[in-house]
Amino acid sequence: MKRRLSVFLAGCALILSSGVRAKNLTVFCSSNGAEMALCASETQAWAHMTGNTVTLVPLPSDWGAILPLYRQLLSAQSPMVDVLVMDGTWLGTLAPRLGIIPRAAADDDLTPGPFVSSGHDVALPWYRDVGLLFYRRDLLEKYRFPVPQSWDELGAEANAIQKAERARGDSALWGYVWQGRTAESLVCNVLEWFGPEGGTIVSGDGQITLDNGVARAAMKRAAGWIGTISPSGVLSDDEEAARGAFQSGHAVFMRNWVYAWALANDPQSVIAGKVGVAALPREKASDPPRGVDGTVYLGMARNSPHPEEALSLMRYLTSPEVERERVVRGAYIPARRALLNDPAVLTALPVLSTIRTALARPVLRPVAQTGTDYPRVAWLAANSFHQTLSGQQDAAGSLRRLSEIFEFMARRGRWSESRAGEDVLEEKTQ
Amino acid sequence: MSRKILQHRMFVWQPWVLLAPSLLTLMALVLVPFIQTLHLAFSHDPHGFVPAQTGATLENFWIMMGDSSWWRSVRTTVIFALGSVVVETVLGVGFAVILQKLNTVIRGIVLAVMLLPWAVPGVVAARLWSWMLNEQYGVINAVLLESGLIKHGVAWTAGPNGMLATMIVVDIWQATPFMTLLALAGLQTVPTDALEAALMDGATHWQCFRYVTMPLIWPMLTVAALFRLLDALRMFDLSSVLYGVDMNGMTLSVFIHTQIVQLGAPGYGAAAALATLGVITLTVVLFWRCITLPQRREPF
Repeated sequence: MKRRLSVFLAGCALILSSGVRAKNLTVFCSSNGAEMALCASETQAWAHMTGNTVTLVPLPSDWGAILPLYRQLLSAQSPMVDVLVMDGTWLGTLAPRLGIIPRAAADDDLTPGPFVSSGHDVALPWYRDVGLLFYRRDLLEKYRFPVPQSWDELGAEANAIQKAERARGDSALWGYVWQGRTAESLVCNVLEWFGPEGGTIVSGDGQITLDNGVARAAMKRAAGWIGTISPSGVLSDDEEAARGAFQSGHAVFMRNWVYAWALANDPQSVIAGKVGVAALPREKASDPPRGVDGTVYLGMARNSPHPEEALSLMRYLTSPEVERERVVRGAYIPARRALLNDPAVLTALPVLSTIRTALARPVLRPVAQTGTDYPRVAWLAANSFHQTLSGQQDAAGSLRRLSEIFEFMARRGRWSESRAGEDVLEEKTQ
Repeated sequence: MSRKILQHRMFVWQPWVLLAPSLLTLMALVLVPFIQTLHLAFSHDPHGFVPAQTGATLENFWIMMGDSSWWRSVRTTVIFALGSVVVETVLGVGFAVILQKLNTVIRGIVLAVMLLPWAVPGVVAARLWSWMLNEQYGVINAVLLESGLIKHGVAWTAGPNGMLATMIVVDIWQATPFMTLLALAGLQTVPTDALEAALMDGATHWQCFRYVTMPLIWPMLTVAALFRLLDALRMFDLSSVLYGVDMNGMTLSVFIHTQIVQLGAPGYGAAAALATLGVITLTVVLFWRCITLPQRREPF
């Protein structure tokens, strides 16, 4: 009897002590099946290692519904989340509610570096993405065209191939499909057309640089594509609609993210094996290649009761080992520079060697410079760009009006105090 | 005797006690959110690197006055509501007159079929129409191309006018059955002897309709139209599903939702909600004056 009692007490002590030691982290890392499975196995491995537990909460499949959800969760009094995955464009808005991440030597290798807000790191890059040009290799070879290096070259090649192919009976073929819908992806497309001289709406020190000659010329050039090399329906296209047109063989060129590569080469796809991918064209062929950065970050809630464990999990998930595993198992582009030369990574994602130049100098959207205002900046910009492209407004007038609105917002929101500065935005990915 | 008992037993507080449950419910559901909205509308939002300041402000209303996207949604909403309600009312009366001439069995069947669009939830209807109107795969373009009426697919919702027209058409498709039903109910109340007397006096069918039927069903029609107008002025589903956050097709409800949920500006959204209340009131009052005016002027 005594022995039984002692066993019972020992058991109780064990349960209680482990209850004190082990922490349970609530983690938001994915919405869909395959990604969720990957995330589950990674977080489980960490939980096993550290003796903590992890509760994974699936996210809505509509990425646009997540930011409002995060705003609510992070501003709640009681902590409801510890670690969360974030789109790069949300960081300015969420930064005041994110926990501060102390700098570590391992962060130097991360590209683009940790997200800085008010002088503190608040998010670590987890995996990357970048805007790319997809092209029909078979058609370019047939007409002996090189991969276009400038937007004017792209326009000329698209026009020539479209005309010739239509004359041969392929009446549904268009030259270039992209994302013209009034949404964030239109902002990405436009910043890619602007190039280094056209700027990124707001400069690193918070000045509005939108209304300039290069930007006006870029908008005019793109407006000229509608109805000539791009169908007018491109103005309501998102990534998937553009991919639909390209993958069913109805387009010569397409601007899209990396995910389109695997799908275009899927055995089911009619263009499998006929596709090429390259860095996007530039204003001048001599400019360095630039695509908009689509990096996904990890951060933790500022009011998390387990900041140490949350930090440990984030460091684990962004470690070279896990990042390598993610490339092999899920084809996610690692956010670590050293891994881009790793043989295992290159074997798993051969396209990396082709898109390296694009990954080296991504265009960063003005998220760091505009703070909580970025969603409004993107919304106003997308609407104004859309009106210019659809011919409701001329490029010069709409860029000027938009600049005036942003000047007002910059004064009100003190964008110049962002302390983002050129040093943070500098292309440290080199 | 009974009067005396009643007076004796009824205290001043008694009706209040009896009303209390419904008053409390109303307060919780209407008054509290309304006061919260008022409070929010006069408080600061965070901007850029400036956290939300404390204290009351008129800033939100000031910004709204100069916000072209706000004025655009006011325009979209008012044109949408007036356009769709007027057409729905006219069509509703037309269909009701036709239906009234049918015999009861057929009328029942036709009416049941006609009411189907009204039974479709707004979000489903919007999704349905967005597929039908798709430039590449839409059935409407396919039919028009097949019949040779157009040579290339038409991007119906590419321009702001097309977007507004599309919303009006979908709403007409959805709400005309409702107006038909109410107009038919109105027509049933018109006494046949009045019509027969008018015919006897040599009135044409049109004159009968214009000077006998219309005045009799007018009060009912105006109330029905007013309900529809209030409904249309707060429309959210069509605009949100068809156009998302595109300013060109944005109604006031979607504007408010975008500000609060997407852009994280609860103060500005609340101010817009209050202003929307003003826009709705103004539109409804003007509409009411316009439709009740002919009645006052013309001695029917």
